Amino acid sequence: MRRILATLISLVICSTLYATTLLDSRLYAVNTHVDHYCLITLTAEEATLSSGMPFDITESRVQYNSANLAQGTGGWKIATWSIEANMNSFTLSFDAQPFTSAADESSKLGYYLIFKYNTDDYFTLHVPATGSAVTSANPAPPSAGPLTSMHKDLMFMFDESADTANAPSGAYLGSITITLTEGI
Amino acid sequence: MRKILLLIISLIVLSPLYADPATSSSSLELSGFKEGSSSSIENTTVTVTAFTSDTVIGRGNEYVILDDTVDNFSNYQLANAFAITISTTSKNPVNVAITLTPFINLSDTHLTVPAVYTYRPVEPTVFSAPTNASTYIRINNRNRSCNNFKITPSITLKQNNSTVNSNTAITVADETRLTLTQGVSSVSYKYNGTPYTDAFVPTEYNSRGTALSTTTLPPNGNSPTVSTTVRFDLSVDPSYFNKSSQGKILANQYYGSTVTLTISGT
Repeated sequence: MRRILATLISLVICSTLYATTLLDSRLYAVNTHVDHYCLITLTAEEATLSSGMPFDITESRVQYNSANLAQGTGGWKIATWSIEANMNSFTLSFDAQPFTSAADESSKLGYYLIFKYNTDDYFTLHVPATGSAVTSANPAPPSAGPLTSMHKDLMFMFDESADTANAPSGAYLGSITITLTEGI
Repeated sequence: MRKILLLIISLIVLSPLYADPATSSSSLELSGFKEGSSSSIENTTVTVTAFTSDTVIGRGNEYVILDDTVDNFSNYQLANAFAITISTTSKNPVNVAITLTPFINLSDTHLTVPAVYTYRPVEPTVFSAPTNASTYIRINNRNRSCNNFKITPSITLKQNNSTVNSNTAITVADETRLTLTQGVSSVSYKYNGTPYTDAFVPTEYNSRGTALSTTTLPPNGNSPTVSTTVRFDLSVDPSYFNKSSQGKILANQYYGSTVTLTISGT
């Protein structure tokens, strides 16, 4: 049905387009809305005393806290994320690497990401020290409709196995990639 | 006919837009740090050792003649003059700055003789704990020339004012310039401000002035103890003898040179 509708729209537009250049620009405007599109953006938080990167791995707020994790609270704000899409459902796929000492690549620390969305909703992603984490989630958009706009915080918390007190000094690095895909 | 053609074209163009699901990706680099602390270089010991070489000559307190009138003492090497062995349980990388001084006449500190040091890490190294190591070379029996500049000095190595070894005979071989031993890895340093990480590059310190080197040593990881040895060779800087007016070493004098290691955690 949608294809038929789109075809009809383009028929109308394309048939008039031929006449003037002005209508040609309208064609692009209409097509932009007809196509499904999505955009996810991760923006790193600049370092402050209470959030951002790089952060001190011995900071108490990044240590594992089972109660906070269960409630989706606590942790260290490392980034904000935003989604702009005109889809009613989508899937978020995560590919994340453990936190690794730049001085000693054998020293890896596992962690949780707390992905907050809507008002009180969240889901967590565990990235173990032993390897990368590849998983997916399907957060419900705040409202059904042609346009979804979501944005909120991405929090970081070490997992229960991370021994930050005895970890080597120096820099630690990791990476997170989130892919937004249409549908479930 | 044109409209029909346009319809066909637009169908062809629009169809793939609906067939492919929309996707978007974004990446984030995680970054954190852990401050270094004094504990990073705790539980370390440093031992300074004078080598006894198979090629030594001389006996006891006898010393080979050095003729201070000869101005062609090029490339004389004191192989394996001393070694520094470090053991540590540190899990963190340790930075080592090495300062070497010229030979200084201990009776008249205004008289200095430039020296060249080369060091050869025997194995990947972890240094720790600040210490000073001094070596003193006695040269006597003047007015005798020799091409091989062999001396049997009285060597005193000190660590924290305690003698580690003394009266060690050492041979200075002619035309010997040692370089880093192959197979050594994870050693970086600076020479004249330029950082090097290739362990196969000769590490040479000319002590006409104060020579500096910074070495970043690998972390211990989870091993309970890491021990390593770095050997130092030293010789008189041959360029010193290129100027006959300066190329003098007073015989029957003690000359001292100081090696200072400054250790810091990361």
